[in-house]
Amino acid sequence: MGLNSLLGIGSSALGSSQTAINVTGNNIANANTIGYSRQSARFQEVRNPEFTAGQLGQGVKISEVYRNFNRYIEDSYLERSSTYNRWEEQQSILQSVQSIFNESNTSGVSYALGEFFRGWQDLSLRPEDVSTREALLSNAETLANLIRNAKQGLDRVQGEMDMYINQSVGEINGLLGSIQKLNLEIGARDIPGISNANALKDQRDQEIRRLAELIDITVEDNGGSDFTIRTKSGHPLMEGTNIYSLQTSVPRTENDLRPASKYDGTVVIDGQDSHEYHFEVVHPPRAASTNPPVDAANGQMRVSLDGGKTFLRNDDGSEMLVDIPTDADHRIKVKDLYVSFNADPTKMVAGDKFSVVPKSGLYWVSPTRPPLNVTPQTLASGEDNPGRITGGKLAAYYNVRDQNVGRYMDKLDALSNTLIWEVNRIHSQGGGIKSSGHVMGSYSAANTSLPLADSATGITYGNRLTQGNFSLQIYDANGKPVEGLPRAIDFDPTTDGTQNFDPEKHSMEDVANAINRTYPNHVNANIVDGRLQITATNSGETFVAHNDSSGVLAALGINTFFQGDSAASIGINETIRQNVSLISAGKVNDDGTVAAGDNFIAKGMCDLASRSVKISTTWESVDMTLGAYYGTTVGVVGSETKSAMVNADYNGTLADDLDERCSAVSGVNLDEEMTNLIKFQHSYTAAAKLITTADQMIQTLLGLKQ
Amino acid sequence: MRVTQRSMYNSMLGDMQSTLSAYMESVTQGSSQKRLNRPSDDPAGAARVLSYRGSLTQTNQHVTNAGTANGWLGTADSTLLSAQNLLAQIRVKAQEGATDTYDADQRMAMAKEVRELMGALMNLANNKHEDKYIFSGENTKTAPYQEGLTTTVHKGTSTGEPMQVTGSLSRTAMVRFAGDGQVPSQVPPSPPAPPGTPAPDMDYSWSEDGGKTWKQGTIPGGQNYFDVGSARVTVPAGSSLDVKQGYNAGTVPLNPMELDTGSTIDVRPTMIYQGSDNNAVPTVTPYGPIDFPAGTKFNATGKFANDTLVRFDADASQVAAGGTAKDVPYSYSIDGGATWITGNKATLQPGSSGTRLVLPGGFVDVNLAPGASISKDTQLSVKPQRTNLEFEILENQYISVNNIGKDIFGGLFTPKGSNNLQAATGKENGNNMFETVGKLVAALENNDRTAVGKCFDEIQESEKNVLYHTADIGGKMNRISTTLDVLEDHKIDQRTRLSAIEDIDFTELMTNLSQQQTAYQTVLKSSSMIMQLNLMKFM
Repeated sequence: MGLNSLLGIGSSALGSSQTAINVTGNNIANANTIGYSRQSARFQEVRNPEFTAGQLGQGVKISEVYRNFNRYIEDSYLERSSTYNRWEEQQSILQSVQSIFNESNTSGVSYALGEFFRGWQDLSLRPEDVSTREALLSNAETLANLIRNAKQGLDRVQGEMDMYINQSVGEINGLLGSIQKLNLEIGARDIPGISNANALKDQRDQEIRRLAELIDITVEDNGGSDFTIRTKSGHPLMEGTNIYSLQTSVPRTENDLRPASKYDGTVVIDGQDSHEYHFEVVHPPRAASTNPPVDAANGQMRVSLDGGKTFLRNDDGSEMLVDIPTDADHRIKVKDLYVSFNADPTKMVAGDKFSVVPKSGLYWVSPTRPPLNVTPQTLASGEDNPGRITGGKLAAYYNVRDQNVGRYMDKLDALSNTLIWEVNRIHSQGGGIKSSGHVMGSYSAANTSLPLADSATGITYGNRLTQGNFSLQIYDANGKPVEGLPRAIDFDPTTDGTQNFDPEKHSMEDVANAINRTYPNHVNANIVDGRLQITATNSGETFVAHNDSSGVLAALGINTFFQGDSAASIGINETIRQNVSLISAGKVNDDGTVAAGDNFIAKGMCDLASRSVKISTTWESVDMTLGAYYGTTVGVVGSETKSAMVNADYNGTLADDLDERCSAVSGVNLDEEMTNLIKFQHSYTAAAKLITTADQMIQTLLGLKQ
Repeated sequence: MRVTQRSMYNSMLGDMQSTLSAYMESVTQGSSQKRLNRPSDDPAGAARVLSYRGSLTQTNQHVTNAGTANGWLGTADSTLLSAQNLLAQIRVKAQEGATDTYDADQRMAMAKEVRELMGALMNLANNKHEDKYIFSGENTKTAPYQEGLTTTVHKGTSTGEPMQVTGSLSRTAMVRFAGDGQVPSQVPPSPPAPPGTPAPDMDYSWSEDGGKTWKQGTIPGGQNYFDVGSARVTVPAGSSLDVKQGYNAGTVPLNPMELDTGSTIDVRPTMIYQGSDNNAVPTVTPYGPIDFPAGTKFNATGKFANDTLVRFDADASQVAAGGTAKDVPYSYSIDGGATWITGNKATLQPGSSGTRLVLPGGFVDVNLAPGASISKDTQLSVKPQRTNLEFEILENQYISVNNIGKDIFGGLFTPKGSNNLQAATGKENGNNMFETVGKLVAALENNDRTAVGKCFDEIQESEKNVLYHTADIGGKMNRISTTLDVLEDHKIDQRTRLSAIEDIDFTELMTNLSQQQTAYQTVLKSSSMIMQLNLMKFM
């Protein structure tokens, strides 16, 4: 053991202290670098080669520079961060959505609805007054405008969500790409315990944090590049150096057939909707056969909005069954969505399932199998479907688009649809203070020869029709009722007596023909552009259609107040807008006149304000007044916003706490670094002293000779 | 726990953010004076606020409606009070005219006065509120009354529809006939005349000055009208007027009472009602094949408040005598078929062709033609004639504000389904004010003391009738004033509830504000204190 070894020890201490000071310096420099993990130098004693007594050490060395990082806390943080980011994003979007419904300090749809009915009340006080009629018209316009605006506002939010979704999916795929690159580099450079790729790992964790903000993930770190990222639902996004991707897709359908099924077509959709539909065949359709003799039978299927977990029910609690369309011309209509089958449905067997995603969905793409639907979905119980994406901003965008805004739109549509029908139904019973010689129906049919109850006619209110009849009162050029004309319309000349309208039998063409047959010398009914048009044939003559027990006038838009059938299309009937005298305030009397002071119809409208009516969306059906329905809709918007806020708050606190625990491990404390700096500086000074001491000892040794 | 620079700064920032945002929320509440500024502040409350605001709008509207109704009824009330005054004056004239102390000229002067009063009564009956006639039923744009002429037949028989008078007369005219006969005249049945014998002519005289002077006229055989000065009296088709000889043929009756068994016809003033009424029987229109084969009859009876639809829910045919009675299930709808009240049942008895359907406000009797049957889904549309203008003054409570003039003032009117005028109420009934006053004018102008005396009694009846209607209107006004009290209570109640939900508690807000201010100051102070500290300061 020589003096040189003392010099060696001194020099190793000098070098190690210097490295430690460098590490401390790097920590101080990166005190505010986001994602930086505090690094420490690991000092290790240089061992003695074991030929001296006492196994005295040979100095010190820096075995590695490692980062202070706790994978367990980081994973907990990632999970919480996904949830937090979802709710935070959801609450901030819903805050702006609820402003569409906010009437706390301004007036909105609810106020306009009140004013609309107030307009009818005023008209009931002064039925003959044109200015009161104008005021009613402008109240109704305001209501229609506000409803349309609300709908446009919601449309805009949905549009923004689609944009954000595409951006986020792009960002996710981009992040996966850059994580893959980092992973490759870590694999090449990282030698655990000797040369740690600290900066690369910090970068990778930082990218993963960004990924977790967008989508819920779990991470599995087996060291080096053996690193796996999965969605929480279990779909791998990255395995080592292989990456998968997510993609958005246009509306799609999928078959899930029983092995015995021979059905060889697909389900065809037209239109969009914010729900996913699952159809399951309960009774397969049957073709007619002569041997053994059986009649053809319509098939039936049940419908689920949550992927087959629960099925829609009728008002009486029984399972709702819809008829299976027999061919491509017969389509099921669900709101604005048409569903049909493009092959022979008699080949289906019970249990065949068809899923329809009539909106742009999110799919997980792997090279070996068809894209898998991972679009966030809410089950009937209100829980998120765990097999889909449930966290991160992406889930927020989908949830807002489909679950929140989609449902608000459905509710707004249901409200408008019912409002239009109920108002028109009452309106078409009476007459205005003037009548007109030409009326154009406001609803058009795609097919004018099918019975009106058939959804393929495209007449929105066809399913609300009942058997019944109506009257046409004709007035001469002086406005006096023409006497001696039939009071009811005969819908079937081949059967004796006056036959009623039957929605299952009579088409729009039949209605036109029946009118022409019943009043041959006074009016001419024909169909223009799928709409029913009635024109008085004698000059100066006018007419009013009224006293309708079937609803056919309201369904075709004759003598109606509103036109349209949804929140987007609600408007005032053109005929009425051009001539307010045509607004029905009174009934048509027995002698055919409408008295100037009669307020019978106006009173019926006022009554509608406080009458419970049936308002239905695809997933619920309630009996409520129109005002109360809108009120509860606002309540729902408020409570969903509030619940998002509470969730964001709660998860935010937890995420902050976890982040704090991460930074407790990985963060830099300047006081600590200052202390370390002093500590290592002292070590350095002492090591230098060791060398001078060795030098003096050598000098002493060399001085012995003199 | 290890504290790091990042966590320290993050937590200081977070604390500042959260205290400041709570503070700003309170500031917003202070500026809007509302606790509820967006639906998420209190979702259930937001829905309730909208509901209360809706009720408040409705209550305010009901107040407006009640006010408007009060306007109508107030006008009617004061009009009827004035009418009572005028009637009292007319009664005094009738009383005077019935005494022996006055002669023809003096009665003539009274008649002039009564004519003026009658005109004044017509003006009252034609009174308007907001430019709408209040005694015209729902025909608010048509004046309810216009002047007209009618006849009173003394000692003669008018069968069928009453006589119609057109044209005008400035004074009551008397008509007498030169022989027994009929208008239009007929060939006498005995002794039997040879076929083709023309109906005889009939001579008549008339006087327009109370019988002082007479003019002559002849009604050609078979003609159903005769002229009296500038007026024409028509006997409607299918009706006839039997008269007794009033003077000897060839002479002119100088004394109206020349033959006191003879008929006299007064052509006298009256008022004609032009408005609408509630009298007509509701019409029933079948929707569907029930009227086949033709001959099936429907009679609706009762006071239907609404247009009513009836629907048969099963087929039913007539049962031969001895068979078993058959149920006829039916439903009805009072909202044009939008909702149906089901589960009603009528019965077709064996051997009977008819059944009765009981409905709200009345019933419909169906009398099937031989061979006709009831088919499922056939409907009956029952349209009553209602002329009441009703305003809603409380939810689903209506008050009728207009009046049917003919029920108060009488006069003549044209009933539904007829072209001829007839008296509004029974001809001899004193309830008919305008007819009574018209008769008084005739009696005074004709110097007929007994008839004047009779009119005096009838006028008292008319006064009672007007008083009855005044009381009815007064009752409605009372109802409105109590309703207004109720509405005012509702308003206060709704405002209080609304305020409890959406308004801030000011004391609480101020306390919160000062607490939040203190909290924010504390965070700022402590943060700045911590930030000043670090190890470097002590080295």
